Amino acid sequence: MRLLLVEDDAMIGESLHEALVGENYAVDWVRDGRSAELALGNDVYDLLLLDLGLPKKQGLQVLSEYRQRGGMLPVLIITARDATADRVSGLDAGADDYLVKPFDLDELFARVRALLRRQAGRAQPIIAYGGVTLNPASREVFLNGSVLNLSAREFALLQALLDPPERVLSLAELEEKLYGWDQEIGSNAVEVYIHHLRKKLGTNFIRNVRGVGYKVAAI
Amino acid sequence: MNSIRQRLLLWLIVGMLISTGIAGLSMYLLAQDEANELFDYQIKQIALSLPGSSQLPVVTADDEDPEEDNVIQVWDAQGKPLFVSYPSRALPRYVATGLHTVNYRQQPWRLYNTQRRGQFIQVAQPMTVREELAAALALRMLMPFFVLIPLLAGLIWWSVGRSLRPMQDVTTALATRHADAMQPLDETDLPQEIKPMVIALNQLLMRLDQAMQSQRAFVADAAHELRSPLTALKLQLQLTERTSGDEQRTIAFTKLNQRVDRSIHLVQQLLTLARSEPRLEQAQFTDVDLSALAYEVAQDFMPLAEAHQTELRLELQPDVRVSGQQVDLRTLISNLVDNAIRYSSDGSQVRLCVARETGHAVLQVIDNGSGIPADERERVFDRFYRREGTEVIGSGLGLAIVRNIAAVHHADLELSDNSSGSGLVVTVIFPL
Repeated sequence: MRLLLVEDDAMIGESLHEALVGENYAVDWVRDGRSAELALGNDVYDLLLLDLGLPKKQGLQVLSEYRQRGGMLPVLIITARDATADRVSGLDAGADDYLVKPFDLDELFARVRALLRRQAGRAQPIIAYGGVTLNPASREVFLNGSVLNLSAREFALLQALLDPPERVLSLAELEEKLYGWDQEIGSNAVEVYIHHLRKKLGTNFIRNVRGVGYKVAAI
Repeated sequence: MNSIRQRLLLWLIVGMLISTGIAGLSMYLLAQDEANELFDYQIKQIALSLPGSSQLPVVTADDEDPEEDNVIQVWDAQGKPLFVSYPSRALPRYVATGLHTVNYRQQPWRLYNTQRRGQFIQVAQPMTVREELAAALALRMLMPFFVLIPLLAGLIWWSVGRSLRPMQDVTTALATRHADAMQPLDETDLPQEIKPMVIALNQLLMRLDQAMQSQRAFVADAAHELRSPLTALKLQLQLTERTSGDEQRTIAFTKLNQRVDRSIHLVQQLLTLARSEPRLEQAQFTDVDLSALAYEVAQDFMPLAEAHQTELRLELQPDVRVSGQQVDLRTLISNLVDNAIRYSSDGSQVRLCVARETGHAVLQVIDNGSGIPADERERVFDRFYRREGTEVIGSGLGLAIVRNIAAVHHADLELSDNSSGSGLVVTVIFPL
């Protein structure tokens, strides 16, 4: 899952970036409204975390223009503006959720998970598919009831393939979901992780769609 | 007695009583004069109308009120009493003729003596008769006043109460309003005596309203701005909790410390700003040596300048004195020097100059950093205004504090470009 974090405060941005990376999200952090617009143009993100008081272009303007262009990303506003009118205008401009600073990291993570869940079109917090059960909150994976030990990257890769399942993702898309701008990607890193996952889940669980990419398929 | 109504009533009634008393006394004296004249004439006529040489019967039967009546006595040429009207009250024979006043048995009498055909006639009248008549007359003339005074008292009580009703209305209007209702009181149709008070009150309300609005804006701004360092602090605290390993924990604690420092800095600046807000009463000014103060501040900033490899150069004319508050002026210079060092790139130069010009003392802080564009020079004095793209962690309050302190000292504040290349010049011009 790749998130775009828009936050002008260096200290807050740094901590949020660190915290989200710690949750195995790929995070790109930009610090003003213009850069946010540029980054959104890439269309590789699963969620937008947006501060409102931004240099160069205000967060609300960035958001409403993004929605006018047809942007579908779930948007979570994180701001110090706590007045009811601010919340209303934030949500009316197209935000899906609104979090007032200072907030708790666990709450932020929960809201991010909830938004991603809805974006993938499901209501259940746990993803179950073909004998595999994945819990994004506790980051546990079960195969036919028994716990699987996955590395952080393996977990992120599996979640990308399962949420929603049976969608075909290219190698490039998978790389984008796993790595932010600031992370080095080994030339065949994703293929290595797929190889590891196949060993743990069974070879046929992750299918190679020739010439397109990968998808999960129930055995 | 603290009621205007009671006080007015008391003084008016006392005044009326005193003037009634004076009027009564003068009426009594006038009436007494009249009575004297009248009775003198009366006793003279009695004496003159007595029949001559007749043998008058001696009257023995006193009438009902003998005290008030005249005593008529007649003697023959040898001094033998021929007649006395009330023997029980017979007076001695006074030789002097005409009208005169005597004391007999501790009582003043008025006498008229005359001699006719060998007879000596004396008519005496007690003075009390005259006094009683005068008093009765005076009292009768004063009677209307005694009716008038209670009537007037009632009238005063009622009319004063009625005249003071606008005051009562003002009191009610003030008493029943909310603490935050600062709209002015109605000034129309007010009596001349109360109108200035209400106008003054409205002006006070207006000033209070302005002060409260600026305080409210300040608190709202401060609440908003406090959230950022607190958010950074809380996030870092939660991240620190999650760290494992000594190295990670050390880094996390360093960051935690930076964020606490930032919060402390903001709170300190907020408090300094609140203190520097222009006050209504004039602050206590003393004679401050601006050059010496600038020198002291520069010493304090040497370590910071060294850390930024900035050359802090002093150009101070000795003994430039202004009237002001030492503590505030130190804050002003410190904020300007601090800004100049922090917002200039490393290896730059900051000049702190104090000079005396005709009628002014001039303090300048000159850096060769990136400067401030002309269109932002007004806004940088707004509280919490931070220029876009500044990497330096600041509160956005430093220049707002400087502006407040300059205003309290009636000093002019100017931002301009550094003529020798890039950079900003902050000029504070103090009146001498």
